[in-house]
Amino acid sequence: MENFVSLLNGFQVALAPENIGVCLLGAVLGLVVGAMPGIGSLAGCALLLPLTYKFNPTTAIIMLGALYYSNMYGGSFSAILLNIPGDSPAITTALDGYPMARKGRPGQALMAANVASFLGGTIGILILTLTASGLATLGLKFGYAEMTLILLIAMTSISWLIGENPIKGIVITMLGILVASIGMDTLSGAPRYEFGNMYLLGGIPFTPFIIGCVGFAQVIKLINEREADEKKRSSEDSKTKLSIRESMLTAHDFKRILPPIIRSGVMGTFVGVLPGSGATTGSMVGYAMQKKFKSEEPMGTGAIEGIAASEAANNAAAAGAFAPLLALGIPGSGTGAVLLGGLMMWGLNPGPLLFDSNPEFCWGLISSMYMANIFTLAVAILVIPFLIKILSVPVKYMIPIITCVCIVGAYSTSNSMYGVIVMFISGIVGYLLDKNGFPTAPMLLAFVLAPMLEKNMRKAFIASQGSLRIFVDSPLKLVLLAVFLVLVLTPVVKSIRRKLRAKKAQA
Amino acid sequence: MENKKKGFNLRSIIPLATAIVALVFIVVGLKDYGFWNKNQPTPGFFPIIIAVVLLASSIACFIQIARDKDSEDVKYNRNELMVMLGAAGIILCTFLIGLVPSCLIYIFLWLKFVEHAPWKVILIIEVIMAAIILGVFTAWLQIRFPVGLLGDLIF
Repeated sequence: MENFVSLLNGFQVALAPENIGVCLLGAVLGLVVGAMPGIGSLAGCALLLPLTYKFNPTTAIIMLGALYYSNMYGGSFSAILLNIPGDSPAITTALDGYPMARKGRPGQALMAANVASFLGGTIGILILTLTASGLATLGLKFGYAEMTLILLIAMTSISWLIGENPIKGIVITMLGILVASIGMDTLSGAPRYEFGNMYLLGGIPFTPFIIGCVGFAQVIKLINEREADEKKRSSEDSKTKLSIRESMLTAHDFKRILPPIIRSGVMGTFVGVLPGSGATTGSMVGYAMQKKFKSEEPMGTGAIEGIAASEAANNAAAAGAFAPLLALGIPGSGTGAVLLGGLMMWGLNPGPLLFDSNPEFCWGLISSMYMANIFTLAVAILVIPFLIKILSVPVKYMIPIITCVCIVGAYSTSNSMYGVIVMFISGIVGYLLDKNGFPTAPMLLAFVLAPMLEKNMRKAFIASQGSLRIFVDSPLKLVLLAVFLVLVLTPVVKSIRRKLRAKKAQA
Repeated sequence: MENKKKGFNLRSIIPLATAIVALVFIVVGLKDYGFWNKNQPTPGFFPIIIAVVLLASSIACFIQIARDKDSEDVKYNRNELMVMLGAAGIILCTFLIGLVPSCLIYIFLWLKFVEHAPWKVILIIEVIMAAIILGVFTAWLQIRFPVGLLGDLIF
């Protein structure tokens, strides 16, 4: 009950004209960016982060939240119409969305995706409303040692989940932490690893680093997708004409999509809450779960249930990811890390105290998500007739545009060419890492979380006068330590078992 | 630019580079910032631990890559280098003619000579980008972009 009163207060903040305006703007921009194949929510949020600097923190994060959220809607458009997922969570949507479009029902496939996104997202936001402040209250009981263990779990889980190689996950996570330690010591403020360079004294600027690692690295990769993009666009399927009336779902369609939406909505939210999972894992889990239930058409051949399960799960996960971000200061995904970095730049420290110190911000953001959900659904339905035009911007024309946005954005956030150079170098490094199978998302997460981890770990050691006992002296710490060890050891055990099985098979 | 599997494997460059980074952090950390002092961790404590883990995992990764003979070679494309050179060109030209003209010239050159786009498309994209840079960043966000040597001479 208390949560709903706070939510109503949050609506007072969210319904300010400026906040409604940016929420709508975020919804539109997110849809467009999400619909553009190859950009994705992570790059989209990173590229549009500079636009929010003009606003106060609440307004800025409302815009970013709406942008992230509507991105999930947009990703399904190109997946359904062109078989090119706009973002990784839409990969599973394409499995049934594109076949359904080829069966002559592209409008209904889009509408099913929109409705599922809306209802799945609503389930996610409702669960977020009910649980976020409780999670923050629990977080208040955490000391330095507990926070250290939780941050270690967050970093470890994302390293394992993204990418198949745990060693590469560790390498990339450690690299992210070291990059973050350049500049000043988090406790004493003394210069550290600045190598005599006055620019490095201020550390590696967050936004140019993110824009480079994600945005510019993505542009370099996009160049190879030009030909495939051209081929797909030249097919007849991409020249379909759509109207809202023809896209309406029948009562029978609703009956088919409702159960998977509810199931995947709930499941997706809990997946989103887990550190390191995010919307992509959410949509995959939702789709996999739907396979175990009966569908009218076989999954993968244009089953509307498949679209509903995937879209409901990814939007629910996107909402669920806000719970650990706001309550514990732990982002659930790379995009969450960008949002967290943005919050820190505006002087807000997400964590257990945020709900007490800035309730108007937290509840304003949560209530704005309800608004963003409604706005995005409305915009997503209204743009259906114009989708073909939005999607007809070829990838080859996007390359110089995004390159310039990266450069201009990096300059505007640092007001110096140093930011542009950081963006350029981190873009090349990000591209090389990705090309060699090192996922960059764990590096971004580690970069954002490293100062918090160092501060908590060092304070824990100072409090215990250097004793390691501080990490094992309570049942909660032991549980957290056990979870951390399981996360560290599971991939190692899996790898050994795989090798043993391969040896047996050879013998 | 395809790398061959004979001799040194190009995929080993990343773990080698990260191992060097780790070594630098360990040496500089121990030399300049210390590790532990009077029951308290010093500024070097955390980065040194992380650098040691990075060094160990980089070595493990290097060995893994050296042993792995089955996975495909990483293929580099000349066009990828062009994107990087394009961005580097904008940065260099910024010091001469300023950021905004550099971006607009780069867009024109890329669309005309790399993508062979029609004039109409080039014009539309140039107008949109000019509107975004000047309208959103300069007018709305009040960003003063560098004008370069030429701009300094003129203004």
